[in-house]
Amino acid sequence: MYQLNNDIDHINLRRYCNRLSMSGLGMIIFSVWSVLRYVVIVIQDKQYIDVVIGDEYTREQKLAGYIVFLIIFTVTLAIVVAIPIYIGRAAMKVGKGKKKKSSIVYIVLTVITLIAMIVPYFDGYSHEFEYGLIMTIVAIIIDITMTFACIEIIYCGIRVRMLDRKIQSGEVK
Amino acid sequence: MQIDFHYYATYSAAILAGYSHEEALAIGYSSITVDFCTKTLLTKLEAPRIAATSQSQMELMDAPTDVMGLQDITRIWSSFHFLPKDLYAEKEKCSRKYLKKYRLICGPNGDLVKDTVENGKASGTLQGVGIAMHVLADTWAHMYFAGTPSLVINNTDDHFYEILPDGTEEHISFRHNPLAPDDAEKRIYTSSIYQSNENNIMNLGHGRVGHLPDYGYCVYKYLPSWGEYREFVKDNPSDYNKAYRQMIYAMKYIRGVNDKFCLDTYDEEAVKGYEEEIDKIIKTRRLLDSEDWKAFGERLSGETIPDYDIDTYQDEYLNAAEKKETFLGKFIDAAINHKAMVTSKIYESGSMLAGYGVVQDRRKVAMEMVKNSLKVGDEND
Repeated sequence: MYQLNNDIDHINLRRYCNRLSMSGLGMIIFSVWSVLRYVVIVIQDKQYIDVVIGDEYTREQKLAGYIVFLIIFTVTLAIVVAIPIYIGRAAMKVGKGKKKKSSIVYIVLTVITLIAMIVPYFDGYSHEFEYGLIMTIVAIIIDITMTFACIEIIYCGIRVRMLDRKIQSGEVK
Repeated sequence: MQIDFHYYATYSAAILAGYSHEEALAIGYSSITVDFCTKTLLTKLEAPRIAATSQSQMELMDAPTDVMGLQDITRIWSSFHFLPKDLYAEKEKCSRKYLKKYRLICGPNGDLVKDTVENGKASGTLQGVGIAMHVLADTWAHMYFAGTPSLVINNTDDHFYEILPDGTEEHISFRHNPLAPDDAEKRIYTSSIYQSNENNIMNLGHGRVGHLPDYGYCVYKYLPSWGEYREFVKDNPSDYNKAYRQMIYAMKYIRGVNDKFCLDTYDEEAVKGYEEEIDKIIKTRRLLDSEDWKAFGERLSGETIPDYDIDTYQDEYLNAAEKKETFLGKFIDAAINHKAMVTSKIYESGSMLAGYGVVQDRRKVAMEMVKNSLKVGDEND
């Protein structure tokens, strides 16, 4: 009597959309962690800035240097944080049906973000190891969680694209 | 359902079932009193608080959600407003904890409906009949929800569409402003706030969809939490029509007109000539249909239906020496009886969500136990 979309493809589409939406929210929340992490690193390690600015400058020149550093740091941080926020928002919009399910930009950006997150763990250098065991463990746990969120977004995003294409073409089971 | 169906519609159904005006009034009054008989009222009446058939918003806000508190909430709501359809339902790939909650999902034509009607008949009072009719009607309106606070059962999401008579679908949205009335034209309804805690009181019954199940005009489809992403349609006009006809059938059985009460049976004979009018009342796009149901009932009986007043029988109860013989006394007895029956059935199914069953007459139960043991041939003196 009433038309219900309860075939397996529609059910799976809803399931993956829901997971995509949840993962997108997770991505946005984890982007806050990114801000916190880099701010803590910079605050704790003033020597890092002194190395960049150098000892040969006068006090006024150093102050100007600090201000320039702060501006560059803030802009860089904003760009770094904007990417996961964009990914998260796009994933949530696709999940809730407010954006085209065929959208791919956020999936590509997620792949790039995932690579950017994993590579530092294999290049032998990490700032966190200099800031104690607890900070290191927390950073690793959150990075692992964020990795799973990225993988979830990539997987669900691709499945949503495929299922939506299948349903649009009328090949439902 | 609301006062329009529980009071006025139940009155008219009782008239069609053959009850007199006074009897139908008593049945209708008892039916709607189920929505107002809270512990607060019972405390005021110095009546047994175990007879509570509902909880006010303030009581719910103050209700503890520890094990005992949840059992108390479940006892009330599962017994009177969300009668479980199948206490032995099976579901694959789920934990025992989830399964017990899944089995509390309300629905019409379950075994407990039969037990409820039999209980109403056995009570021998019009108050018992009224309580049974309230419970029966609510199995239609509140189907797909459970009378226990549970996010995994009672939650829903943004995928909510009203199906219009021409087949088109319009999105329904929910807001959390209890002061703003529901807007039927714009399809904006008030619901409870999302709370991620499984046993939060916001996840009780149909709170997550507000009063939508209580509006007879609405046909909608949505995704209940327990539905595993499947769409379900709630056809309120059809369900309300069936509820009405089933009430008449049940009351005829209670009166002794029919020999037995069978599930999934509806009295079409009694409503002959009135089908269109009843359908029109139910389908009118309006939040409350009290006026139309009242006019219909008054035309059937030729009498005037007084407005519902919770205070009507309170003085009688407070001043009586023999409280059990008063109107509210009989209501309280019937409520305790019904709650005991449902709670025991839930307990017998292996679930402690409603706690232990209330044993009203311990001596009677003890005698039964002794008789049973003697029948079996127990040699122990």
